[in-house]
Amino acid sequence: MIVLPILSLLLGFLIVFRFLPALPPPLANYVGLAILAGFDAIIGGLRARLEGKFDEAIFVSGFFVNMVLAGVLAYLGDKLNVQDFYLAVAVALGIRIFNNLGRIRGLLVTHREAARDAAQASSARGS
Amino acid sequence: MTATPASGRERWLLPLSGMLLVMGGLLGVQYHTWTKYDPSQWQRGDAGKLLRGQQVRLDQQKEEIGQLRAQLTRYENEATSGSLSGVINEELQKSKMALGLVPLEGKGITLELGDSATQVKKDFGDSSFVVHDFDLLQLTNLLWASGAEAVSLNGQRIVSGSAIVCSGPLVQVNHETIPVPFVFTAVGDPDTLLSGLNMPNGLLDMLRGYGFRIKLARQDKAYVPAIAVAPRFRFAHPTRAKAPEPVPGGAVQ
Repeated sequence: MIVLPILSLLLGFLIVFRFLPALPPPLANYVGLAILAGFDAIIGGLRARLEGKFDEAIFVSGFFVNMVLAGVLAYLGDKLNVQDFYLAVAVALGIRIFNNLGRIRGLLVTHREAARDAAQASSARGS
Repeated sequence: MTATPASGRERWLLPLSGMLLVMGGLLGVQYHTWTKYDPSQWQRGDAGKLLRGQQVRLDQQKEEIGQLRAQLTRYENEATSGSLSGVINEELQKSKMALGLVPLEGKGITLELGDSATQVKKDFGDSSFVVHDFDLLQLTNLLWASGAEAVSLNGQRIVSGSAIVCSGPLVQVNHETIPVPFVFTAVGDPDTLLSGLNMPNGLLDMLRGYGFRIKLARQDKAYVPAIAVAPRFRFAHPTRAKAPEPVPGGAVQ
């Protein structure tokens, strides 16, 4: 059931978009980082799930803690006058996301090859 | 994928939905920022356009005021052909000169004042090396003290009601913003004016010490424009009453 997550994504978007006021533009950087961190956590969870190491507690805690941390870290960097510190956070998160996506791709490809080999083996046995 | 047990799939779906709810919310916030704040920038652009439009109108109206004043002077001159009214008209014209309602021309000087050439690190924000409103105020004062009959600063006539105030990096005179370099034009005896300004250890000496660029020049025809907006008296009115008795001790009340 992939429908439920997609529906909740749309629901979250609509709730905020309809009923909550807009944030001032300076905060947009931090929200962007939080989104990136959340995406990273979800990709990490997907990878763990494919590797069979999925843990619900780690998944959920990682999502929220990383999300808050990414925003807070960037905010702190700005307050400490570290120029464009949010870029460092964005780069770190970006590298993680790409790593995880690469792993997921690899895992999916091996899954498919294993499935094809199994199919070929069975058809060869059948003929 | 098929290797994942069904229970694992269920465990993953619910938290994922919760997370995506939050993600959706954050995306909504960002979308808000894009859509709701860009229009405001458009509005700012509109405000700029509006301001420019108003500026043009203001300039036109100023021109109109000048024309109307010239017309009025002509009517006054025409109306006063008799000898008594001629005297009255002469008085009137003098008053208008003093009030800054007519442009004046005559021998005089110009004084140009630019920011200091001394290089200071901008990070330290040392403001001793930029021209301040109080520098201009003191210079105006010095010009009057040195015998100036009429003074203008960057095309703004200085009259008794003119305020010179700081407005950030610029200065406002007669509620008009003027930039660096500041150019004073003064009508008066050039020799007296120059010697007054160049008084040893005076204001100009001090400013030169800070490295301010100062250019003094004699003018055979110094032009001082009329004030753009005539003073309005909403509260003050002439009175025949005598001055109140001074209170002993010099207290005002």
